[in-house]
Amino acid sequence: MKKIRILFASLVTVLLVGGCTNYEPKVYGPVEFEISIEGPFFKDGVTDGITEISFNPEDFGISRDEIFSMKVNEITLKTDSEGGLGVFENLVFSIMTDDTETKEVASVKVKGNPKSMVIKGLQEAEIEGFKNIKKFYFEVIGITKKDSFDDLKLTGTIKMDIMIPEKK
Amino acid sequence: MRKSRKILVWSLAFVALFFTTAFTYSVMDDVEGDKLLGVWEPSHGKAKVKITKVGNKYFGKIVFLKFPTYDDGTKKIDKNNPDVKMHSAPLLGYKILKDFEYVGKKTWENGTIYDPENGSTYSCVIKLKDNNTIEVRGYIGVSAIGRTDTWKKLSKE
Repeated sequence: MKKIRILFASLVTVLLVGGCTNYEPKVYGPVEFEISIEGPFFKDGVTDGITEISFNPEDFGISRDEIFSMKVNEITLKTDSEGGLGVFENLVFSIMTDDTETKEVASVKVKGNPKSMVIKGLQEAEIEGFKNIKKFYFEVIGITKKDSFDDLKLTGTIKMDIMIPEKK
Repeated sequence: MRKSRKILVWSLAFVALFFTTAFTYSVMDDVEGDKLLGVWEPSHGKAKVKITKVGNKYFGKIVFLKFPTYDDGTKKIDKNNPDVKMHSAPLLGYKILKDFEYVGKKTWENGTIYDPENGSTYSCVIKLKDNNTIEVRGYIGVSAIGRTDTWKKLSKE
């Protein structure tokens, strides 16, 4: 009986301490990337490009052991290509690693023919298991809405929101 | 002295053999695993899925839809996704196979398959039956409770 009481008290303590932990947001990035997508692209086709990005939270004053949660805040995308980003109807971005579950982190419908775009990350898409990850793959999948015969070089930045326990 | 040299030579030979064998198996695994790459057609014939490799994992995205639009002419989107923010994402290009790893014996595991028709994601195992045929088994919980579909290869990556 005494053991059960101790166990119960410990459980309540853990829940209280855990439940009372406050978290503070930190910004990881912006980290630059470059993705080359090989053409030609055809109307209503699917194309994709991928790049490898190092993950070093320490560079932004974040200890990886403290990471509680992580989400993509914002992606900026630019192209110098004459056709602009208007070759795409939609763009979907995902993050993959060798050891964690792949997540779609942003999706956008391209309007007009911009040379650059700012895309907000999906708030629901939490990226898990990043404590031991040293790099990740950043992929863009594009649905093309017109024919284009040139390769396309995309440059941009990715910025992430990381929550860490609040320091008292 | 001669005996200890003999032991050293044999030890080195053993280590070299071990690493050569391990390397050979690893290369063979890559070659076997990459048999999944290419464009595949599920048995319903309504879509084509291109499987690619990123890092050590395999992914499949929809690259063709037999009926790409709804009756009103608008393009099909991922409207059944439990994540509301993905409802505007097009089905064409959607990654329905994720995170598969080659585990040997012509089998890929630890991945998931997404069914856009009901927005559900299932655990999945893929088995190579021959170089142009795979069996894709989606299941919930244990592999025994699920459904298997046969996909045919259309092209190699």
